[in-house]
Order: sequence, then structure tokens, then C-alpha cells
Amino acid sequence: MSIDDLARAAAADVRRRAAREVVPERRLGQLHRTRRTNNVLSVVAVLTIGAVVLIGGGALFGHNQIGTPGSETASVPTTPSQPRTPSPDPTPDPCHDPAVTCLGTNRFRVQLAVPVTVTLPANFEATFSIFSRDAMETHRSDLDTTGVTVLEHAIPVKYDASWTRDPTAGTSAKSVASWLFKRPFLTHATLTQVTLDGRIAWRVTADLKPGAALPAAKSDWSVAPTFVGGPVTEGYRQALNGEYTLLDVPGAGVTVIWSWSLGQGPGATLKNQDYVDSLTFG
Amino acid sequence: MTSMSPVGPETQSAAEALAASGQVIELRSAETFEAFYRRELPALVAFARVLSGSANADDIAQEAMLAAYRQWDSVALLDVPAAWVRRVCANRSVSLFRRRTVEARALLRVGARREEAESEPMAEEHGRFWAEVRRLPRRQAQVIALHYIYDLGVADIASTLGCAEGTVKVHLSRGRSALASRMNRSTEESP
Repeated sequence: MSIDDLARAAAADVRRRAAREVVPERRLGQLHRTRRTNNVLSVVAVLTIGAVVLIGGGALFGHNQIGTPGSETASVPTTPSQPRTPSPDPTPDPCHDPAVTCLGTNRFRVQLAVPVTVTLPANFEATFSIFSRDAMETHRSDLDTTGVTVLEHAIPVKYDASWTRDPTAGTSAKSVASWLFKRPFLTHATLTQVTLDGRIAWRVTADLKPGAALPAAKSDWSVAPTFVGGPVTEGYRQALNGEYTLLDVPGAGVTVIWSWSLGQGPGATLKNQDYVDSLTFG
Repeated sequence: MTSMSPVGPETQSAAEALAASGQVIELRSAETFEAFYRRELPALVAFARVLSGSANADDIAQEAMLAAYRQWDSVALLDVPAAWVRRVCANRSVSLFRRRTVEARALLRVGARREEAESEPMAEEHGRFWAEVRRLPRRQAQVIALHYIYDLGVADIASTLGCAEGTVKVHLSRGRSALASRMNRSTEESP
């Protein structure tokens, strides 16, 4: 049974049990009672505010705010600060995630095998997707389908469907970067030595060669595979742009930082750079 | 949308009963909301259960419905009011689960997990699957739950969560891969 089959069976189980256990009529009555209670409390609050305003000589404002039970005013949204356009999104707080330590001033330490510290730029979501002890990802808030993925103990994989280690890549960041630079499915590749976290690192940029075979399955897509890190698989496909930065991190092996953007054009990852540059390990 | 929503005989009589009882609800909105509530609640409870763990899931679903009820004049005008209430429920469920993660450690130590104590036991493997879904990053868990509980496609999930379809695809792919790895399953989909 695949994960998809299991998921569908598990969903059917939950839906069936909820349909059996939930009695909408009874809960609808509860909801009406809650709403009436809230309305009464709200009207009392509005009347109180109105009275204060009137006493204070602010009658101009007060008259339009006062409602009575049974009037239309009492049945419109009741919280004064509530916006008219319904907003369903509470702000996510990464500090609630036990794998994330909030260090203040937008600095966060994420508990991978070797902890990763990042200073989150304003154009990134304050949400860390932590896939395993070896993999995390953060997405841009100002641009869809764009983000940065960090893979510790990254495994360079063969150019086939197997997602297994390619032994020709070597085991150092330098050798793996050189291997990536020469992948047969890439074109316009560049390889540059840079410094990250005070360590020597290698940066590889490239485009997918037109017509290159995409032998590996990555859920819904076919890709030219590059790395596996924990449960995360990475590879090139059309419209996926970005750059890899590779470095050796003691305790985390070859660590790969994949700054990527899907369908947003080749320049979309430029604003990922502050995030990448802020990364420290240990 | 309000006037176009289907209103069956059962709903009409319920609304008439409400009006006769003197409750302060504008008749057309009450009819529409109640039909909406009856149709959506069971699946919404299921959705909240898988995202939050079951201890407070029913309350979360009810709170999401109450939020819709309070703003029904606005919510009813949306293209898909159900998507709005699902999004409220998704956000509240995941927030609640995150807040409780730390508490859960202590509860686990004393072997007193509320969700196990208060729920009818689920097939062990299914329970484990949803527990793993709750361990996924917030957006992934929401995408996975919407996809499987509601059988929604990428476009509908994107619309529900207010994000791009590509984002949903990424989360769906990542989520499936992570779950397959943790549950020792393949990621092949059913035809």
C-alpha cells in the first residue's frame, strides 16, 4: 500500500467516524446560544462605551454605535476591532515549534543535526519547514514558490531514477561541487569559491539543458536528480531556477544550501541572498 | 451567493421555527447559514481532528463556524464560503497543535495523552498516519489534510489557503515524501 492509499483510507476512516458522531442539530443550538450571549455582551459593551462618550460630550460619535437587542446593529459583526473583510489567518509563530529557538531580532536557531542559525530577512515567512534532522526549508513571503532549502548530510545521487548515491561525486563539498558543475543535464554552469559562516564554500549556478532527460520521479514531477537529504529529494526541472552553495560542516557532512525559485524567472532568487548569507552552523 | 444557495424544505422549516421563537436573526442569512452548517460541520470536525488531535477538535470546528456565523453577511458573499471556514479551522487547528507540542511532552511522560483518552480508538495505522501529518510543517499539514479529507485538488487547496498552486504542489510533494519516509511507504499514487 502506497502512502497515497494509506492517506485515503485514513481520511475515509476519520470522515466516517465524524459523520457518525457529529449531530449538527444539537451543535447548531449551542452555536445559537453562544451567539446570543455574545450579542448581549457586545450590546452591553457598546451601550457602556456610548454612555461614556455621551457623558464626555462625544455625542456625535456615540449615537451611531448604540444598538439594542433585536435591531440590525446587534446582529452585525460584534467586535469593534474586527475588520469587515473576514480574515482567517492568525500570524504563525515559529517560537511555538520546539525545534526552533527564537534568539530575538529575527534570529532563529533550528535544531538540525548541527543546529542552523538564520537571521530571517523581512521578505521571508517566519515559518520553518523542518523535514527531518537533516533538512529544513523556508519560503519567501513576497514571492510564491521561492525559498531556501538546507540539507545536512546531503547525498549526491546518480542521474537515473534510483535516488542512490553517486560514488563518483566524492565526499567533500569541493568534490561534490565539481561533480554538480559537470552534471550532463546542466548548461551555463558556473562554479565559484565563496565564504559562508567563515568557511570556504562553493557555489554552483546552472540551467537545465533543453531536452535533458528527467529520469527521476519527485512526486508529481519528473526531475534530473541532484541530492537527497533526509526525506527531501532535489533535482532540476523546467522553470526551476536557483543556485547551490556547498560547504563542509563538521557533524553535518556535505551541507547543501539550495536557493531556488519555481516559475518566477531567473532573477527571482537574488532576494534569497541575505537569507543564505546569514546562515551559520553549530 | 446568499440568495443563490440551495434552501431545502428542512432548512426552511428550521428557519421559520427560529423566526417564530423570536430569535434575532435575519431570516435569509439564517436559512443559508444553517444549510451551510449542516452540510459542512461533519467534515469540518474531521478536518479539525486530523490537524489538531481530537481532544479539542470539535470545539475548533465549532469556533470556526461561529466565526463564519458572526460575519455571515460577508462570508456568504465569498465565492466559496466553505473554503473560508476551512481556512479558519486549519489555522486554529495547527496553531493549537503547535502550542500544545510542548505540553504534550509532559503528558506523554505520564502516559495521559488526552486525544487517546477521549476519542474512540482509530485504526492504529490511521492514527499513526495523522500523528505524522501533525508533525509536518504547518502549511504541509494543512495541504495534506485538505487534499485527503476533502479530496480537493491543487487549485482548490490554493484557493482555500490563499497561496499559489505551485506552492501547494511543493507542499503536497514534500509532505507526501516525508510521510512516506516516516511510514515506510512508497510515494506512488493510486491511478
